[in-house]
Amino acid sequence: MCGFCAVFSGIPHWTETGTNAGESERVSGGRDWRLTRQERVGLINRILEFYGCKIDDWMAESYVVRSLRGRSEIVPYLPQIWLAVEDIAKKPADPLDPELLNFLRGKMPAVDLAGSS
Amino acid sequence: MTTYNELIPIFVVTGFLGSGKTTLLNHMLKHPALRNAAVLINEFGEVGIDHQLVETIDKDTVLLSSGCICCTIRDDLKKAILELDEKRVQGIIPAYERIVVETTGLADPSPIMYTLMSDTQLRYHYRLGTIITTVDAVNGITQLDDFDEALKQATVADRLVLTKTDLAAPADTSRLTARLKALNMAADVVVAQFGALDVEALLSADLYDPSRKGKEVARWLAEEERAELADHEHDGHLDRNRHGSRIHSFCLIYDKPLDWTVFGIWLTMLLHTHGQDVLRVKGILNVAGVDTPVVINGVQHIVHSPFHLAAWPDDDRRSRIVFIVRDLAQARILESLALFNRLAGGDADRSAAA
Repeated sequence: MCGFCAVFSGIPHWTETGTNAGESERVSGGRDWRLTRQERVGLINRILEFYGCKIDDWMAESYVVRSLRGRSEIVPYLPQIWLAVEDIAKKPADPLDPELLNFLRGKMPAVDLAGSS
Repeated sequence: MTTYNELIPIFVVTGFLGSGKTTLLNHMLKHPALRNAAVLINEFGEVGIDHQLVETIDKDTVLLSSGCICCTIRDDLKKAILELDEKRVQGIIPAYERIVVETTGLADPSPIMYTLMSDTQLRYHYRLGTIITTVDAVNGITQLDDFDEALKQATVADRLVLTKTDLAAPADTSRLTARLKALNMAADVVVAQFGALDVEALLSADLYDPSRKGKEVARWLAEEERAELADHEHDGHLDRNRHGSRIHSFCLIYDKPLDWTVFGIWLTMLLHTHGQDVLRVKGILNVAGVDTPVVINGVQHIVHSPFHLAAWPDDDRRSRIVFIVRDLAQARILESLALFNRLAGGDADRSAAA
């Protein structure tokens, strides 16, 4: 868990400010920003299937992490989603976990990920 | 709104006990590039600082509830900078254009970087410049072996300055240089022969300096290419990891554009679980739908706001990401990011991993 994503910091998380520091903060709350949030939620939900959880966007302000059994936690920024998922699913949210990678691999057409060009 | 490159840069000079930080700083302060600089030091040591604007930092650290040392707010540093700022605004001290912070010899630079990158009051007026780490050529290898602080100071550096090379055997200096390159392939290693030391390059050539136009990124990438060639010369083995260190650096290269949203998801998840072992991540990304390259720069759990370069530094349009990690497998990181990217319909299978 990182203090950088503290609830009371008031600092936009780097994933929320687009790709250009100091410029893209201007469009925070705009149409593209909301579309990106929507897209983010969809992508994360594909990952969270592995953990038996899902998230919803709450008023473009926070994310609600829910378990299939109805437990939920509200978090403001993306990094805190992983903490909530661990809390709910009782397993580490680790992108290097071989079981998670196998799960993701199973959701995609077979490709040679180790192949080099 | 203040644009990023209008912010006042804060440079950090760090290095283990007795490695020559203050001597280097004194030399640097004579350079015209630092004519209008303020200096913050933790304590007045044996070597005095010859500069008109030197303030001390009182030790006052706030450890956030996360308990992770890299996410510690250095409240003393924040206060010292804000006091300087107040005096500057009131005209009590000259208007400085840069700040240089000299750490103690046992300092972990991460909390300093975290404070400068994330504090709400500081981040709208100041930005992090380069991290300059002095390494004693005589004792450097032993210190890297025996002291985590020395290791950390070397791995987070943008510039590694070898000191006391006149007292060390050339073979030892070469060995130390190789060790430092293995630890931190993206940092420039320079020898402090003071008459010839390029102070301008140490200080002004930072990532966000607009006058450099991406030269800093081009330098990282040149280092990575040199390292790749060196690997090929050693029968394809990762020669940079031969020292048996738990810490090593490598560069991932992706041919095709990366999805920015997925990259954010992936990196936050990686840093959530492995942030303490991702000592540094920095690179240049070809982001789908974005014409100009996006620079990322992170230290452990801390990620700098992403930044666009005005143009690509060369004809190579591939995404290249340098990692310095402890006990993390390169192949697993490579595979994980590629898989995540495919979630978004991306096809960024790696083309190479140096």
